[in-house]
Amino acid sequence: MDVLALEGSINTVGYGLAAIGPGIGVALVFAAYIQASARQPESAGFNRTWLVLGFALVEALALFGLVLAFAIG
Amino acid sequence: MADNPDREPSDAHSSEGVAGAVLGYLLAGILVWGFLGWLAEGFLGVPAGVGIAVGMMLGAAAAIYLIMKRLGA
Amino acid sequence: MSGQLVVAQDLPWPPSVNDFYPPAVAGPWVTKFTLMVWLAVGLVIIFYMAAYRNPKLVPSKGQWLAESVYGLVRDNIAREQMGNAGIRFAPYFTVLFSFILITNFFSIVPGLQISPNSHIAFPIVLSAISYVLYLAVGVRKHGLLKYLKMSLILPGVPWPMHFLLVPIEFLQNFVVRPVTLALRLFANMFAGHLLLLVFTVGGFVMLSADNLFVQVTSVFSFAMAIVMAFFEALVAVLQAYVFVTLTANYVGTSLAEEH
Repeated sequence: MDVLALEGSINTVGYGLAAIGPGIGVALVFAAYIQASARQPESAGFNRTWLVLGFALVEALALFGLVLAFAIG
Repeated sequence: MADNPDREPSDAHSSEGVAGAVLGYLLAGILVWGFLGWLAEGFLGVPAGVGIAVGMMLGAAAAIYLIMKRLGA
Repeated sequence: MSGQLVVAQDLPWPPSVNDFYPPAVAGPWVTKFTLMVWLAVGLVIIFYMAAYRNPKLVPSKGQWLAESVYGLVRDNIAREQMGNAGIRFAPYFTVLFSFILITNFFSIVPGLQISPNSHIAFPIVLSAISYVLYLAVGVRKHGLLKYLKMSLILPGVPWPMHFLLVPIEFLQNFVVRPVTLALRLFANMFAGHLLLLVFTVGGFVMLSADNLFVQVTSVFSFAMAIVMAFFEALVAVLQAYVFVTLTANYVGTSLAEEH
C-alpha cells in the first residue's frame, strides 16, 4: 500500500500518538497520589497540591497536541 | 462523606470540580494565548509557528500559575 | 433494525451521521426526537406526581424510588457541592437528573434505540439553562460588578499578571464551562449510539457474507453489541450524574463568598 496516497487530514493520528504519553503520565500521577494517601491518609491534603500541579503539567502536553491538531491545517 | 449531613460546607473543592477546572483553565489558557500569539505572528511578521508556540507555552504557564493559586492551596 | 436477515446491500454500512436522522414522523416539526422528549417529560411529571400524590410514612415502592432519587441528588450532589445552600436547588437538580437519565436510557430501550441527547441541540438547551442559572445566581447574590470582579480577578497576585490571567479566567468561566458541559453529554451519547450501530449492523453484515468463517465470527460482534448495551446503561447514569454534579459545582462557585 502506498502510504503517501492517504487522503484527508492525518492530524487526528498525530494527536492520538501524542496523547499516549500524557495518558501514561496522568495514570502515574494519580496512582502515586492514591498510594501515598492510602499509606498516610493524613498527608492527603498536602499531596493534593502536588497532585493538581503534576496533573496540570502533564495534561498541558496533551492539550498542546489537541490545540495543534486543530491549529495546523 | 455522604452519611455526614452536618458536615461544614467547606471551601474544599470536590474532585470532579477540580479535575474539570484544571482541564478548563489549561485549555482556556492555551487557546486564548495561542490565538493571540497567532495574531501577533501576522502583525509583527515573525516566522510562522513561532508566535503560536510562544503563545501556547505562555498560556500554559499562566494557566498552571492560576491553577496553583486558585485550587492548590 | 428489523430482526430478520436482510441482504448486505440494504444495510446502512458503514454507520454514518445520517443514521442519526430517522425519517420525520409527521411533517418537519414532529420527529422521533420530539416524541421522545415529550415522552420523557411526561414520564418525569407522571412519576413524581404519582409518587407524591398520597405520601405515607411507610413509603410504597414508587414513593421509595422517588425519595431515593431525590435523596441521592440532594445529599450526594447538591449538599456535597454547594453545602447547605444547595438544598434550595435540589428540586431542580432532581428533575434535571431524572430527565437526562431517562433521555439517555432511550439509547438502549428497544424500539427507541437512540437518545435525543445524541443531537447537539438538546444538550445545548440543557447547558444553556445551567449557564443562565449560575450567572443569575451569582449576579443576584453579589451584584453584577462584584460578581464579574470575583470571577475574573484573582486576588493576591502582582498586578501585571492580570493581563495574563484575566483572559484565561474569562474564557474558562463564560465560554469553556457551558461548552464542555453540553459537549460532554452530546459526545458520549453520540459515540455510544455509533458504537452500538457498528457492532449490531456489523454483525448482520458479517452474517450475510458468503464466507462460512465470517458468518460464524459474527457471533462475537453480537456478543460485543450486548456488552456495549450494558456499558451504555452505565454511561447513561454516569453522564446524567456528571452533568448535574458540574451544574451544582458551577452554581456553588457562583454562591461562594469572596476569599
